[in-house]
Amino acid sequence: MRLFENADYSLVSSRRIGYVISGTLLAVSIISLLVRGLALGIDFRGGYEFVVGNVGDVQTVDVRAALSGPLGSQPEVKTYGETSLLIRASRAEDDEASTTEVQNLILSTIQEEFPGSNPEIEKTSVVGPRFAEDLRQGAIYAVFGALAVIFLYILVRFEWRYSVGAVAALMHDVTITLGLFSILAGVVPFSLQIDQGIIAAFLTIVGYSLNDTVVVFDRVREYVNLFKTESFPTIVNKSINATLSRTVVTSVTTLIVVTVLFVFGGEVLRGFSFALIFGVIVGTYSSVFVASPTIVELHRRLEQPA
Amino acid sequence: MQGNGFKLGLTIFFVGLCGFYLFPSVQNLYVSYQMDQMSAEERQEYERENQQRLESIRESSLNLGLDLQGGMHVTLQMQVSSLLDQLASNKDAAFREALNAASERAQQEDISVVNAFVQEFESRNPDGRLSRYYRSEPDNLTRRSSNDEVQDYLSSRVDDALDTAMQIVRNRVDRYGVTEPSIQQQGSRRVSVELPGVEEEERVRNLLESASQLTFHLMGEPQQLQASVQRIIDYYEPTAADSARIAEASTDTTGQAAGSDTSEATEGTALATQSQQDAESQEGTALSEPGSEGSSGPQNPLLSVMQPLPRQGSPTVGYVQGPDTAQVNDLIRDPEVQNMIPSGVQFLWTGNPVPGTDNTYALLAVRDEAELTGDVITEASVTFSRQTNEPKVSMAMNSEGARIWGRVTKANVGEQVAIVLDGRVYSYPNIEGPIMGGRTEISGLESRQEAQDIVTILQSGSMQAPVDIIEERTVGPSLGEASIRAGLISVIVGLLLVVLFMIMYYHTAGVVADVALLLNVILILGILAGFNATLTLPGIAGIVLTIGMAVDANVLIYDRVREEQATGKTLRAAISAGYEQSLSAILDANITTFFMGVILYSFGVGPVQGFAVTLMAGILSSLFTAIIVTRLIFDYMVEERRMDVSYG
Repeated sequence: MRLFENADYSLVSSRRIGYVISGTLLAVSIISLLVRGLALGIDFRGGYEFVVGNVGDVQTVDVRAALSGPLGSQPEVKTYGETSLLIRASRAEDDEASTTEVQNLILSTIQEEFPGSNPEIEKTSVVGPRFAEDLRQGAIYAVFGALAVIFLYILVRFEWRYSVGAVAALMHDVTITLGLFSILAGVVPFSLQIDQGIIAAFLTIVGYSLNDTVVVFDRVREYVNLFKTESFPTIVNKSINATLSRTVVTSVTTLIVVTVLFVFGGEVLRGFSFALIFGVIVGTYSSVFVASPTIVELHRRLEQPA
Repeated sequence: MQGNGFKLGLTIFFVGLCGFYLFPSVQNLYVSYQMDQMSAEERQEYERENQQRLESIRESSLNLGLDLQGGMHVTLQMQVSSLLDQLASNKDAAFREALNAASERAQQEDISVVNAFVQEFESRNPDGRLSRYYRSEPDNLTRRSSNDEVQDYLSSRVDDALDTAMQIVRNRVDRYGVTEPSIQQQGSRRVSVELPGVEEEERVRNLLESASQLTFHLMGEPQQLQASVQRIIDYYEPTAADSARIAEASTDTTGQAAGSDTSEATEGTALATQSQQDAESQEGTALSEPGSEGSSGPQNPLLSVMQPLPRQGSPTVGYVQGPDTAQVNDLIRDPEVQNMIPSGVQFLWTGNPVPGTDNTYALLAVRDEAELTGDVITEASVTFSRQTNEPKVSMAMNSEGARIWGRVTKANVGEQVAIVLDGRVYSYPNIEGPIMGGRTEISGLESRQEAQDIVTILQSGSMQAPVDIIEERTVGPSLGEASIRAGLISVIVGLLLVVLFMIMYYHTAGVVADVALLLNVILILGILAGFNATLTLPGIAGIVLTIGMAVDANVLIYDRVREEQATGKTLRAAISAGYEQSLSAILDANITTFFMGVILYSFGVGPVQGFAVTLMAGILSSLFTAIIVTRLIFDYMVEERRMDVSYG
């Protein structure tokens, strides 16, 4: 089977279409991030998160209403798997109630309010505010550290224009994926809160997208020496076309596995694999429509002296 | 086949190494499967007979993370400011101000409390000397010591305190009985504790968090207390009319409760359990439900949650339902109210619900000053009361402790003494007579297990500063099993689909890539086992992801081979050129992804680190299998067997 063999699309000359698409997606994402914001998970916000199993047939709205009084705040209640509930409660800075107390309060309330349920705690996560602050800082360092390392690596292996192109593509991917999380939070039936797992997914997206970009850049580097008479945009276009088959095949195999993870990986990995599915698509798109056009633009502007 | 001898040797070496590291894990799976087939008795026998072998297999097999096998992960943080407070003498307002500011700052930013404290103190008192508060002969810290010296001294004391805390946590965990716990220092004031298989979260929390500061206090003066509690109630009274009614109600209580105040001697210690009598008196008086009397008008916030019980001869402030204790704490914390509490007295909760009640705690007035502290305890054990069979903790003291205890009990016959563990009053018996032998006991415990835990806490030594749980993650065994199943299914389905896709797309070459892929998965597991890494659910996700991304190297090579073939090269030349030409792209792409793994590993904790580890292991092994192993196979097929390999 051969896909995109001898592909010859004029992708570079039609890059403006890409600009419009990317621009729109970026604008929508940024607006949503500014307006709706991001739902931070307890890793980065602090608080309690319980998975309560064996609750029977209950409505999340009812559980939420029942728990609001005893907990003194509105908890977040979501279904988790088939018979479990995910309950998130905030934790005030000076809260003196111990985890044990909160946990018992939730169990006894559910048991009283919903006869026939026999709730049990399947999973507990408690993060203190100060610890959350540390994790948040760590995540920010990790993301920006990653971008800096990539910029430097590409700078050493290629040249600065490629660095700019690669990092532009990565920021494009991360922003749009974050935007999607912001738009879909609360719409999809699984949790899309930003936690450590999601940050791991983002860095994986960054790695994956870069993978694609580097393969194209590598071919550009090769063709620049090979076709000395051709114009730079033509070379870039040739490179994209030459690697298009590989780009698509790798995207397909990667999409296969992340979709498998999304379907079979269980509730814990749902947000993580969702980010990856979307990230792989955006990452593939961006290496063709963001990273490559960026180096073309940079080349064009700087090669055309007045 | 030039140089292929070396490649072949390398491949055999790596595969052998992985086999060696994975062998115990396979053995473990086999043994567990066998043991599942046995009956309970056979199983016990088998475990007994092969104990050593089983242990060594388990130890060297692939570690599963807490999210897979179930268990508890806890991060403890030491309250450094409390340690600084304890170490200081001559504390004044300037000291307290600097210490409070420092602990606030340490909450907000990443700075050590000691440094923050010194900075805050110096900014407030440019000429001030910290040696005013901290002196220590063994550490050569005198009045003339500079602030830098004090800072060094404090830092080293904090380090010591954390070492002690880790040792104590280790002792407690060992006594509790956890297989393969992991206790590690994190930064300057944190300890991370991993307890596989632990399910009794509540018990472990108490065990870990307990500072094990045992103190003995005399109680507040009941008469003074009565007036003070009345003033506090009045303070919260919405209207004057309501206030009168409450006052009446509380005098009623006093009158009726006084009658039931008889003491009953318990064996050995000549102490009576007061908490029990309080419970009886509560039943006897049959007080109206808290809050019901104020239901017609605006409610007194304190009375709506607390049943006041100050009366002749009792140091009890009131009874409160468990969930309401936090609210009462808030009400009492009011500075105005703090001023109404008799001086030298503090209000403490009982450690357990009042006997005879389900979830009612008593608030007691206890003197600030401790008569005796737990460091005099030399021995602690669980015993049972001969009459009620109630579990107790019996303790023996050293000679100095016994002397003080004798003096205190002699001087206060007829009074009550509170036995306080970590700020909770466990019992407050009457002193029936002087106790000279230095023996005492903690009664009023709920279960044998609680008694056992207190013994564990007392025997493991006391922490120099309290520790708090700042992070906790617990996964139940059923969820862990579900995760293992989900992970396994994902690996198998993912592998199957990618394998099929590769064969479909690249035909024979696809089969070769699939062989490399399977080897890749084995190598990843081998690397994890070899480096003693832990397999977590995100780690499994990393393996699944690697399955999808590992073929990328082969895809790059194969597409290049196709291109080279299209230029008219022979199969052999095309393969050779394909491998050479695609190498730089493969390396660049993988090195950058590897960097992502390194960054993730250094910032993440627990499961996320597991993901980073498998991602990195996956990159290394896929580079090896995709570049070296597949090349070996192609060389064999094309050069030795003269086969016509199809690249699809």
